Amino acid sequence: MVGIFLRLKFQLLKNRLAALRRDPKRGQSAVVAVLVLGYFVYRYGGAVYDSVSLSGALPDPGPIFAQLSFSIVFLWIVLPLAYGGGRDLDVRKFQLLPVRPIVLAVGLASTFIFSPGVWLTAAVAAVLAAGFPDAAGNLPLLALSGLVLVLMCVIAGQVVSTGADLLGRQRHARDLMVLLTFLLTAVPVVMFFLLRSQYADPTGGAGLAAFFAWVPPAWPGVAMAAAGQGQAGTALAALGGSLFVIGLGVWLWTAIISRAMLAQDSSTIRASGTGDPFARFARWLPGNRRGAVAALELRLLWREPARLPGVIISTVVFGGVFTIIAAALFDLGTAGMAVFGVCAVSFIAVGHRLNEIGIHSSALWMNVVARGRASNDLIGRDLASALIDVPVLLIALAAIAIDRGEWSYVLPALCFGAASLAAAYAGLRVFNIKMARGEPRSKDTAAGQNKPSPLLNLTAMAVWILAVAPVFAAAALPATLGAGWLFLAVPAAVLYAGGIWYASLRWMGQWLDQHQADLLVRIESA
Amino acid sequence: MTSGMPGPAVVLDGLTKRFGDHTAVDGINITLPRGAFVGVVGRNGAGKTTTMKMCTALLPPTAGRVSVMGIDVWENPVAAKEQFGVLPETMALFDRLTGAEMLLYNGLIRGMDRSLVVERSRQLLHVLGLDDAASRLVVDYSHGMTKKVALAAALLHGPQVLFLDEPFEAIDPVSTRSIEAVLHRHVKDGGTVVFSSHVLDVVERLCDRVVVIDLGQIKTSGTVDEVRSGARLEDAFLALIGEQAQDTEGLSWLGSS
Repeated sequence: MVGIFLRLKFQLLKNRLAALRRDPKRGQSAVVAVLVLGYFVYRYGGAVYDSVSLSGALPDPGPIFAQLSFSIVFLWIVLPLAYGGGRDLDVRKFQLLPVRPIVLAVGLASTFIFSPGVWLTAAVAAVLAAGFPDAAGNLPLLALSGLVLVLMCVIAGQVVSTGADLLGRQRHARDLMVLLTFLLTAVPVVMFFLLRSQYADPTGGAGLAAFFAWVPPAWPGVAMAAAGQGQAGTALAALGGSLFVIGLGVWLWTAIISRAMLAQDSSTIRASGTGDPFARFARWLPGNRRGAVAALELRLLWREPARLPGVIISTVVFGGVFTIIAAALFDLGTAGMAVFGVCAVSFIAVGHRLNEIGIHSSALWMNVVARGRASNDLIGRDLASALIDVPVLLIALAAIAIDRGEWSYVLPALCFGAASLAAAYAGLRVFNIKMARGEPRSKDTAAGQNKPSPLLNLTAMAVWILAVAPVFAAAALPATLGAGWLFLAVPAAVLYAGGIWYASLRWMGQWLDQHQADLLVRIESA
Repeated sequence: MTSGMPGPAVVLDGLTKRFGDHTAVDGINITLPRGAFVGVVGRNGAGKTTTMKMCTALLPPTAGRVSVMGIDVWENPVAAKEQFGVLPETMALFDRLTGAEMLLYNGLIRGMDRSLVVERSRQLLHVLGLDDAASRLVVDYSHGMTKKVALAAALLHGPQVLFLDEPFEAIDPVSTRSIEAVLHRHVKDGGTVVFSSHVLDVVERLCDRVVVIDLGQIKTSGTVDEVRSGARLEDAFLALIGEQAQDTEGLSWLGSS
């Protein structure tokens, strides 16, 4: 079975490569990939490598390794929820295969050798292991610990992605998944407060070892730290615990596969279809094309399996992280400007608007054949997005203002925040049309929706950075040179954002009026 | 039936579509009168769906022109789209909307008044037997119900011409009858229906005109009586496109285990 799955996966990869060769835009895609990935590697690669490779040489590496291990496994848990990526080997495709779920699980697990994420995790584990002064002397246990870390990540990722898909398809169970997603988003918040003392004083984290030692995702890291220091007993105990957890994960995954192959529920909401909050306030939207498109986007956000948990993760975890970092950055200049960090709230649009046209796949034909200007569709999508983003912006603004006591700067911060949203919408609009990728319908595949490729995610993030950079620059002027610059910076930011929003609306609206059918052909093939 | 009415409903002039080296539709020329009930028949891959898509602004032609009610579909798409309604075969619907929501969405994006959309939706859902399903998600509909709600969406704005791609495929007899009744009413009121189908019995029963497409070209077209020339339409069709020999010799293992 392993051989069959490996050959199947290899053939699928070859087909994907062949499709890429036929893609007339392959040159553009390659340039974008090199630029985006190259920038991130150039900008952050060295710093990340240094901090990882030096961890083993610390006087007491235990707490750091436990935290790193926990963080790596945590990423494998939340990333499938937020950006799962298309899975071409969906378990439901094997419904009629006369094999037991455990055999299927082993077959599917074997295909991980083709996963870039697995190789990246393995590389991180290797760099961590190599960082110990006596790595060569403790190589077998170190290697085993690294392997167990990779295994735990893989199994955790599979349990979450397959499990989320299963929950998302069961009527009422999706509510449980949304609740679990909220609990997961609390993890980085708790870690932030636990680790805050460590940022100020590197030795302040020593006391956390006792806490993390009880959390299973940290156990491979504990084993690695102990192995690197020649403490074989501790390492073996942590490895034993890790393998037990991995075994539990495999059992759970097998059970999920077994159930997923029986699950036939198509919809995930109550039969009336009016139980979701978006359906309620969608009725108050304008009774025209703009309002209809906005209502559609809001309803589908609630009703498509896997979309809402993805949006929660990308909004709270990633949006929250960006906003906190931005607030800290603005705080380094003139005191009282941290509130300008709300500009970073616009990042959440990258999460919930990612591939917003391609996601509809061939259903977009309804818009194509309907009389009317495509620019109204674009405004409708912005309207839906604003109904999500503006409340988040206001909450973030109030939170930072209360925390820092910066009420006098709330109004300019609101202007900067709104400008960053408008600029983000402008950039993402062009991105979502020019780089639209058709996605499988959620009723046809377990891959869910709103989960495009990692490259598409990175490109969207790069587009967001480019679009909002001038707004950040304008906000940085008063933060670094003095509040008097607000009189220039605020109008400049608003003018820039308004201008780019309108320009992209005109450009894309007119392009779509001429080429909407071409766009449909491009995205309907999925 | 169509005499005295100004201009044709649909005109295809040298309509061509190529996908790389493959020519799916090869210079089709035809004029369809107003008030006609036209069946487009052909084998799988003959070019029916591709032609339908080009007629309805869903697929840009490589060459040629399409006009509906005298308006060029590709030069003046906004005006042309007001004239026709579409029921595509393979394309998805926004199926996480309820039937009523999907019709409301469809009406509003066409610029219709909300109250008018609600009223017409109610009538269409009633006629098509979907009263009880109006508040259920389309994703939970059966195949026939999905076809019917898509037909309702195509009819909602009162188009002059209906393009329907395989409207009766995998539909039960009860649903077939309700769809037929709606289409007959549309033609009776002066509308034009152009539909593709593999089910030649349905074409023979419903249509007054037939177009036979094969390998991207029109083999023949005319009234049903002209095309079948006294025989059954299916026999005439098979004679036109060349019937394949049914050799099942190599399948002797079937049913043996």
